[in-house]
Amino acid sequence: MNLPIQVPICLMMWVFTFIRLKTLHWKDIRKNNGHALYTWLSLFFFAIGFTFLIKDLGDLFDAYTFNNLSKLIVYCSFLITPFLGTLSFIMSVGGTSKKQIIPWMWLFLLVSITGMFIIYCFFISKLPPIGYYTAQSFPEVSFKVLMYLSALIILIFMNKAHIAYLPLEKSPIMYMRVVIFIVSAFSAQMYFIVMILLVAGCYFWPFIPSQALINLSSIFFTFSACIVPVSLLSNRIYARFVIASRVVEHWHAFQDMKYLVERLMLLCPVIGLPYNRPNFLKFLFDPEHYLYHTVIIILDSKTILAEFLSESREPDTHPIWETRILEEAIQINQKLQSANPSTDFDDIVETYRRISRELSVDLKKTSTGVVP
Amino acid sequence: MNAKAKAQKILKELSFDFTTFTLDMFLHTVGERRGREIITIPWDMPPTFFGAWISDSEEAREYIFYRKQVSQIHQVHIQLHEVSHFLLRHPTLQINRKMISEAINGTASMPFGGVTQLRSPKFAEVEAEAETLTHLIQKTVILHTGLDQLIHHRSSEEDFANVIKTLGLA
Repeated sequence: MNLPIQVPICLMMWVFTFIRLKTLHWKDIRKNNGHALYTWLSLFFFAIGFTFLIKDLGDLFDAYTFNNLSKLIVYCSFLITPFLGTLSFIMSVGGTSKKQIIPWMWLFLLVSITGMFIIYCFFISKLPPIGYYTAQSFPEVSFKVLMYLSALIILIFMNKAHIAYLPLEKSPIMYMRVVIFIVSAFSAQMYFIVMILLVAGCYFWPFIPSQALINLSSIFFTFSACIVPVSLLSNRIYARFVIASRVVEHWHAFQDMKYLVERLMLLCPVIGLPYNRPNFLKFLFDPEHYLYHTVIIILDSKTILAEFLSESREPDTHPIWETRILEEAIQINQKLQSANPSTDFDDIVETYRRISRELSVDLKKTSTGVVP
Repeated sequence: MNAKAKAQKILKELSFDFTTFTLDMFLHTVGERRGREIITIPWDMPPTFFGAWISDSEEAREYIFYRKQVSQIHQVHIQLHEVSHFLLRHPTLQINRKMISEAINGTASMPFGGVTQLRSPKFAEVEAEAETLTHLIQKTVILHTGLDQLIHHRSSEEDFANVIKTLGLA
């Protein structure tokens, strides 16, 4: 990755890390056993890793300290980042069985860092400046692969925990956030796989096309770097994305309910305001309102229709329907009365959407001579 | 003035904070602004009636009757529709506490026959006005609270929700 990309990303990471530091509720940290602090520290280590990744800065640092010390800092930081992220997540959502693994995770991190430190002390610190993408000696390969492999294992574990949790999450915002966690961890996994192939593969089999792997690793790395801050954006921003992502789904629900509403309006013309049929663009700006209006029309008509068909109703107040219309009214009434959606709005929409689709299919079957 | 403009004017005059909307709070505010107490009563409404608004001729009270056998979402809509009639200063029946008490005790029936029947073609203009205001209220509620409810919808996992909150993301 070149300087014009590295520097802006690094600056962005630091700005974001400090913004999150400012928003951190210090008084609540103890209440959740420091889980939130682990998440912030993960971001902090990511920013440190990025800083020392800048070649000129790393070289300058090494010149005043020890050979390749910046590399050790970068690798340790990039290993600690997913480790703390995973730790925070498992401590928050993991059950007792999953939490039992936490001491082993610490041990794993300790062993990995100790291994890297030993290799660094005995070999890497004695080498001239090493690059990130290639390895010239076996200790260098071991040093890098140890880090990549450790990070890869942590990331696989992290994604496993996220994927297991995803179906349990009922909040749409949190669901989207966890999906972003998964995408970010997956992208980082791909980066480390490519880096293992690049460093170890090209060392043992020099014919492997290294430039293609370098380009691929840059893509995964840049993507991971950009998506990590996205995963820690505020709920307010996520809410807007959730609403936007639901528009298409709501439009389909609205379209699906159209048949039921039109039939009900025909059967119960006493219902007040005209039924709005917005185009997609108009719907886009106010999806919940159009859905709500549709549901209210259905609920009003459901009640009126049931009364029209009620046996206790006085005969002269029955609407005059042809036999075919009366059969349809009975069919719609039966379907509406048998459906008992919960008080959840989405459930109500889903129920009437299903009924509308079923009625529409029934009508098609009848009109084509297929008896349902 | 058309129904939409009229509804917008009323809502503006009401200056209600929709970010904290609850039906009770809204009815309370409406009553306070008009110097009347709004009392909502779930009722076994006669056929084709969803709700009715009746004014107390002796005390500063407005009664809103709504059909009790319908779903909760429908009940809220009916109450908003009836309070819209009140906000729009539509004509309605006048009763008193004695008549209400008798109706509640079952010794007399409510005079719903004399009330503007919901969505009756006979009262199309009045009903259209009330329904327009109801929709404007709902639209404003959705606009203000939809996003807010989504934002404050907590994670299924308490600890995870707390982490997000502590990080200042909620």
